[in-house]
Amino acid sequence: MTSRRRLARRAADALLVLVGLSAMVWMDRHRPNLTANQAPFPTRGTIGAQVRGRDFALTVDRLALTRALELPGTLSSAPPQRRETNGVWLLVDARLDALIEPMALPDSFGALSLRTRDGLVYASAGGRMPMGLSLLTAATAAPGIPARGLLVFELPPERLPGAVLIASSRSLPALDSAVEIDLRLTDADVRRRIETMPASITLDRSGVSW
Amino acid sequence: MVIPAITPMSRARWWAYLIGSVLLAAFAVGRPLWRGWSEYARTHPVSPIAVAAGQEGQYAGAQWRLVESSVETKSGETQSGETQSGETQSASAVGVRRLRPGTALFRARFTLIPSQAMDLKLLSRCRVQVRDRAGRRWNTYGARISKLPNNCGSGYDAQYRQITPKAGEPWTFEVGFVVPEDVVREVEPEILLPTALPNYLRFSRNVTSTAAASRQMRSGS
Repeated sequence: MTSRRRLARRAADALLVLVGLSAMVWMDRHRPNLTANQAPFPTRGTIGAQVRGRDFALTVDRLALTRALELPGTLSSAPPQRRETNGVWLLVDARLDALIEPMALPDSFGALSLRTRDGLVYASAGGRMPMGLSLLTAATAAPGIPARGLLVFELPPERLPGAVLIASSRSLPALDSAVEIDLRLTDADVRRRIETMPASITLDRSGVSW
Repeated sequence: MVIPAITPMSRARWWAYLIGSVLLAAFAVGRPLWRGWSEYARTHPVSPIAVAAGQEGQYAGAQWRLVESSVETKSGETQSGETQSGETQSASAVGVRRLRPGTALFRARFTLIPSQAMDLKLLSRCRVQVRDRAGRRWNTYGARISKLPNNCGSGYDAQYRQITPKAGEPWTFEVGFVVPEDVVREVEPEILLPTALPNYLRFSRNVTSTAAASRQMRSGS
């Protein structure tokens, strides 16, 4: 073997090692972090359509915005209360279908949230509502026997455009399924809804009434 | 550059390496899978013990029998081949139940006889559910649906005193399930005890005998 061919071969070997090292560095840089690695598998859909996860399906039918909620007292004898916000209350009327066994949607940050266009995540405000309201998180759905109710979020109005509802059947949905429902709120739509929204919405224990 | 000759010895070694690698890979993949499955099976009901209609099953140190089952629908339809129990509010019902449209109440009455060796406290942890052919499951309706106890482990008598099962004596309880009307004719009841997992009892339907079944069971025939 001539010295020229030997040199070319060593150069090829070196190039191969370099390519291998570069690939390793690239893979290391692009390796998903633990959160992404354990993230639930999303099923995406839009408002009005049934979005099916592994063990449940969620259908968002309609939305409402308001600055204040008129709520019943915590106990039946307690006076009604008014909850105002500097942002807006987003009320989501949704239907829950259990696909395998009876289940309720957990009202926890990991299971139920609203992700905005810029990546901020707002937790459900259902836990701050009085007991007995027709909240979806307080209902149990069984296969073939769906539950209907409200989901409540509180957020600044400018975060609403592009918001996506994220729901899972477990509080810690790592490697499980989640549904992501695009609420189809455009900038123009949000402006129109805010201009026409009622000053307050009354929620009672008899069901969704707006 | 000298290329080494392939000798029978090196070929045998090559095969040994290949087989060893395959075995190692199978072990590396199979062991965690097996451990995962074993852990799942330890805590989940995966091995049904089928009990034919009208028969009894041995499970967790007790004899179990589905002695009666019936269906109540809003329209008053009842299931043939089973106890005819009437409409939504039957004579034996405690209180009035309102079924949602499209749903039906499946009632199941069981008798169990704990053996002398059975730890009776375990019965309070038993779970009763029904399952359709697609594998979907429904839990018991929470409230009592008759004057009988509504669980395996305890109940109240006519004077509202707490009663519990006793070894060697029959314990009858009745539970209800609100299920969609379109599957109520196919659902089969199941009984699970956490200490007896992965085994669980699955009862076939179409039981017609009631008191006779209880008598037969008590006599051990």
